[in-house]
Amino acid sequence: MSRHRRLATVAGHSPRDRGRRLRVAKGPRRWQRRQGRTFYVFVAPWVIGFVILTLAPIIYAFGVSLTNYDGSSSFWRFIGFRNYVEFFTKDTDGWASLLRTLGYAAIVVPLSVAGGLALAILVNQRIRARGALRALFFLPSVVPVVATAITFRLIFNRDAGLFSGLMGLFGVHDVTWLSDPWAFYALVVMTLWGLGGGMIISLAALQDVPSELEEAARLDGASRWRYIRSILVPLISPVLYFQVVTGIIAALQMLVQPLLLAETNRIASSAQVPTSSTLFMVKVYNEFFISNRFGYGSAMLWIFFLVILILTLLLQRLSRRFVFYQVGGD
Amino acid sequence: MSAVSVRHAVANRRTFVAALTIGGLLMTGCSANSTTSTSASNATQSAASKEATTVTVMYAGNEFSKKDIAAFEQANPTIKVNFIEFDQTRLNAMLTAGDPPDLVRGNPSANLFARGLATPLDDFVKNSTVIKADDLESVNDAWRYDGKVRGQGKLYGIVKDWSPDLTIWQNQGVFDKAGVKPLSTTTPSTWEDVLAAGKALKDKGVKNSFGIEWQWGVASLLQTQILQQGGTYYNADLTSVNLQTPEAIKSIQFLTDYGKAGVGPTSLAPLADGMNLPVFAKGDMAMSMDGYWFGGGLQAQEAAAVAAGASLVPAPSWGKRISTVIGGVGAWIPEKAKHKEAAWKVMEYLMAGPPAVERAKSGWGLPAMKSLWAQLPAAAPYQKQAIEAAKAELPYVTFLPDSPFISGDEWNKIVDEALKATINGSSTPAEAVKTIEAKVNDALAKGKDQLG
Repeated sequence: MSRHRRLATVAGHSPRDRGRRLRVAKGPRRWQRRQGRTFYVFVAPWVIGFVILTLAPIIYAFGVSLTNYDGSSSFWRFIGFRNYVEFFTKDTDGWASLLRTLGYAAIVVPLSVAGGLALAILVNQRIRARGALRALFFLPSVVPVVATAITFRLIFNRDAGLFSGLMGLFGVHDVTWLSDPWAFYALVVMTLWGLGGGMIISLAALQDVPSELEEAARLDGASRWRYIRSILVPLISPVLYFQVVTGIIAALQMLVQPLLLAETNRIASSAQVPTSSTLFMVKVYNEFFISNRFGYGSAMLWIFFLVILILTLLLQRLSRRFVFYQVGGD
Repeated sequence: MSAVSVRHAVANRRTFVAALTIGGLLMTGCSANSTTSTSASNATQSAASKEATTVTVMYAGNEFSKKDIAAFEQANPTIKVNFIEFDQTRLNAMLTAGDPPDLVRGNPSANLFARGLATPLDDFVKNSTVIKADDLESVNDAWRYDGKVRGQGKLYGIVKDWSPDLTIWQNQGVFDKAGVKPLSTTTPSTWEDVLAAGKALKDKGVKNSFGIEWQWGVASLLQTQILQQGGTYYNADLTSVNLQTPEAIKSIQFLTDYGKAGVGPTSLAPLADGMNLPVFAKGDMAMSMDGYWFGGGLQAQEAAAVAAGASLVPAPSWGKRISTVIGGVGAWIPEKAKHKEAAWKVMEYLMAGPPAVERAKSGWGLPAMKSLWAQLPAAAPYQKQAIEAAKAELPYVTFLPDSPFISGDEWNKIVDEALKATINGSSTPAEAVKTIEAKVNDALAKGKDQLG
């Protein structure tokens, strides 16, 4: 039996749960009917919401992706998979934005998770002003994205920004940080500013780790780094894995931040977003609202949906090697 | 639980989920129809009782205020206004659902007309006692379309106000302080002259010496400059462009030189405010290419010092004198609007009623009705001069050829991307026009395919 299999036990699969089911099955018929109704009542809002707000739009978008619909007029017709073929064979800008988005996720997600974990380990120590530090690190992640973007537009302002002032001390002047090619890095910095959200999740996981383990490791002569690498990280790996998956999905779906960070007074005009921060969703937005190509934009969304699905499945597969679930205790 | 009851429970759950799914999809599918039936029901009610006509207006709140709406409703007791702040995404959704607003604010565009989204207004104008055909300024022709070309044919909208957008406001004080000769207020300068003045001012320490409103789109500048040199860019049926011409290359070279000179904003070096007005009004910009409407912003107390030395100069030229109107913003009535008569009443009120008079008095644009010119502000010397300059510009005012197969935003995005490359030195003007031509032609082909 592998190490993973030894550690992993899904609650619903335990013999104890099977026993519970059997006991329920032996109960009175009225209780069974009531239990069934309760199940339906509880699950119905979610299912209805899912069908109306997720499933129906997904199916509708697929239908639209097979047309040349422009979003408002009656001039449209069925064109089969031509939009999909166009993306794979002609749309170099679309591919560039997809690769840029994957690059963005590859930079931002590891830094966010590692940074959040480092902060969590820091504020999990018995240090002075621990509560204040936790609040301080967490605060940026609750600031609304519009306020954050405006703040960073001021920080990176070419003429009067804090960052420009600091760079000026090193002889770097008159750089438009929010234009190409720097806009991409400004976006990365702005995203990392909110890593306090990850810190809180990692901190919660760390506080679940018994302190005896650290003491035992220390008695066995393990260094601090060895303890973190070989004991702490494997123990909280499900939480880190959760952050990686949600982080990747959020990074891939990034749209509002590049729009808000673009130096323009026409927020609605995604055409003004610098090329270096034109992530995939910005490109999709352009297709919808600049080019009025709702059909093509929908096809891009479906392709992206499949990319995210494949990535998630890949991660799930990889997680079997790196994620360790604890045995459920009584 | 026996095997039979387990199967029964599973079947029940499957039936339940299937029923919810089908029900949910039906609800979603029927949502547009239910809206339509509600509207249809409203229409029936309004027919039964004239007091119930509610006209939905998608406009800008600062141009059709609550006070204006109240005054309109008082003057037209049988019409109620349901106001929606303009939102392109919402408009698209409403058009898609077949339940558009009754009156919409917008830009004239061949693409809008070619898609059959707008109602012809000629009969409304013919029967109106408020908006008269002979009172309409020729700029309203921007809203005409004959099925192929914009500028002639049926009228699909009315301009609220407009401006010769390439005329330049200059701050005489900045020129005097720098010892640079200002531009002539009567004779058009060449583009080189304007850029040379900008460079000379920059050499004297004026950081923003010549501001093109780059972030509002630079394609129209390229197009105007080509026409001014006697060139063309569209073919006869507006389905393709030829930009590998000396005229286009010269224009791209000029815009590249402007960007490299660092005299004003570009996409690579935008202004923090995203527009010239705050910088010009503070006295930190010598020339701003914005047109007449910009003078409205100089009436603020803080801009008094700048306004005292400000003047409007003709649009720069390269041979043929052409002064383009890039905007021409106004209102239109969607083809599928349900209360067109009531919408026209709002149109009359907005374009020729008290809000139009107030707009003209404010100086934030030239009126689209000849009768309203007398309302323009002329108390200060700079206001008088601006009116005279605008009048002198009138014979040369025109709007640009507009293909129904590509949007203005798309043009701007393509040209801007090419210019970023030439300004940062990674491309030449000759390469840039080739790239722009290929991308515009690709977009035109897609647009043509869409409209058939």
